[in-house]
Amino acid sequence: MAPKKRSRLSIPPASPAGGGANDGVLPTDVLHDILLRLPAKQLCRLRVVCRAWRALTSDPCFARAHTPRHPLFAGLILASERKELQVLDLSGDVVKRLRITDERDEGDMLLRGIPPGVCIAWCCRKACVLNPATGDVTVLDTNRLSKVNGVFTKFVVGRIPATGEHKVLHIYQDTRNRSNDERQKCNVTTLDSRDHKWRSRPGPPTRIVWDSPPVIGGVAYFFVNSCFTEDNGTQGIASFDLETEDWRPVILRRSIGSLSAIFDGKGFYWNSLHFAELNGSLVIVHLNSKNSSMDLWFLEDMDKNLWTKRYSMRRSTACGWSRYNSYPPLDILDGRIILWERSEQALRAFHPKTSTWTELAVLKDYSDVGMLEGSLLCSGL
Amino acid sequence: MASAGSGDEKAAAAAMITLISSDNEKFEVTEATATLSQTIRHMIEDGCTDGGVPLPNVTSKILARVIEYCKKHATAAAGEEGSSSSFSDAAFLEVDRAFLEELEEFDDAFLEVDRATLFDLILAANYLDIKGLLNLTCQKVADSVKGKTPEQIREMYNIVNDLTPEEEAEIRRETQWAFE
Repeated sequence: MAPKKRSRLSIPPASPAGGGANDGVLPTDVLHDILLRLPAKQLCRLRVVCRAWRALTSDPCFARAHTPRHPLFAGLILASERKELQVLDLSGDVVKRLRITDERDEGDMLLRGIPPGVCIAWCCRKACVLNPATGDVTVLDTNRLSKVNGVFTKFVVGRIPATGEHKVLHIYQDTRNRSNDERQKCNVTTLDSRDHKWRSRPGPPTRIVWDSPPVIGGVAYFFVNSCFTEDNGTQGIASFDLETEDWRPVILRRSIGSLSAIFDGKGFYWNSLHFAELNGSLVIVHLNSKNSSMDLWFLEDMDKNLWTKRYSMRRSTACGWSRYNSYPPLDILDGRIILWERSEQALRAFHPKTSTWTELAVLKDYSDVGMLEGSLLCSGL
Repeated sequence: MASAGSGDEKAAAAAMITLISSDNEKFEVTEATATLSQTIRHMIEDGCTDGGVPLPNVTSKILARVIEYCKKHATAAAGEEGSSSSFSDAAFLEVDRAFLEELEEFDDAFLEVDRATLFDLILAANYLDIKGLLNLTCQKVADSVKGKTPEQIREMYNIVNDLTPEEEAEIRRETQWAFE
């Protein structure tokens, strides 16, 4: 018995010098653990410490482990003298500034939501795609029509998991002449391509709502404009597959459970539905102004059309939700739901267990705030 | 059922394990203290702890500190189980809070060591697979690195800069924003 025990014990010796004297005296996995605790900006500065530190902090695996531990936000500033995208941390400190330099078109700043994926901001009816790691700004010029007043336009960017490519979906609708063809039309381009040539694609099967759609697994989800659905008891969901560059069949979601309340409008209050992506799940955000509630319904099974209400958040009526100031939640972090409230310019966290709110940061002067996906450590993520 | 369970626990708590440091010093600890180390827990499960557990990578000085940590945190773990299963009223929550504060104070005081000792503690925690201790000590190093310049870090941790001036300039160019 005794010899066996001794041999087992001596098997896992702590490699005392790790990858060599340059690691300090700590094994690489411990150094990895320590560096994961530092913010991205400092890690970039520490790349000049030595080769081993540079290699470790530039490794995509390290960057992937780092991102969820240090969530970053993107805040868009669109003042006339300064247009920039700021990368912010949870305490609201600016980590990095990315100038949006293309200002030839000073038209109205139609801007709604910074979509997930590579950071994209659309201003002046052009899409400015910003790579948060390199700071590169790519301006995607759309066709001339979309720059005309009375033409609504929308850009959606997403990553295709199978290929790692990023594509941009451009949807536009000409409303200048009511008798004219008002159908929504689509173009697609591949971000990583050199020329960013737009490919004309079929429009959505039925008219979609101009909201910020989440892109999950390379598929963008939109609500169908309820004026165009036959039955008032259903809510249509349209989805565009960025890989095949085609629309999928519209799904009609029967009003299930208390979701039916959405269509039960009595009195002067509103209900609204938005999509969000939280921890990789498609989520319907149901805002109700009557009781100042925000419910989060998670998609469990698309084929079975199964949605589960996992969170219900309440605000005091004094500062209830509003269609214009309450954005879909940005993230779930350590069990807290992170939300940016435009009217109060605050980044807040909701604690589901205690139903309490904490203010994380005051974010002033931003036209929009979104989650920054990808990593400052590694450009390809 | 309850009495049988607690009887077993008592028997387990009473079982003593002998840990032997690299310099051959012997430490008698309870199983509850020793099993904060996953490495030792596996050995106990495999029944190979008779005659003591030799720890050839840990000196008596460091092992004494590690045991001090495990004793404190083993009591904490036992306390948590007891309170959550039987009581949840305010008085007990108050006791819990006080105990957690005491534990935090203990951890802070525990970390008041020089850098060499801190690194030895990390190596021991890593080798013995004591999650709480590894987390505590790694966070301490991370905190000490925060806000330091690359030069200060090289000096602190005796790291030789093996980058060529060209490579260093290239990194600074690539990540210029981080130096602003």
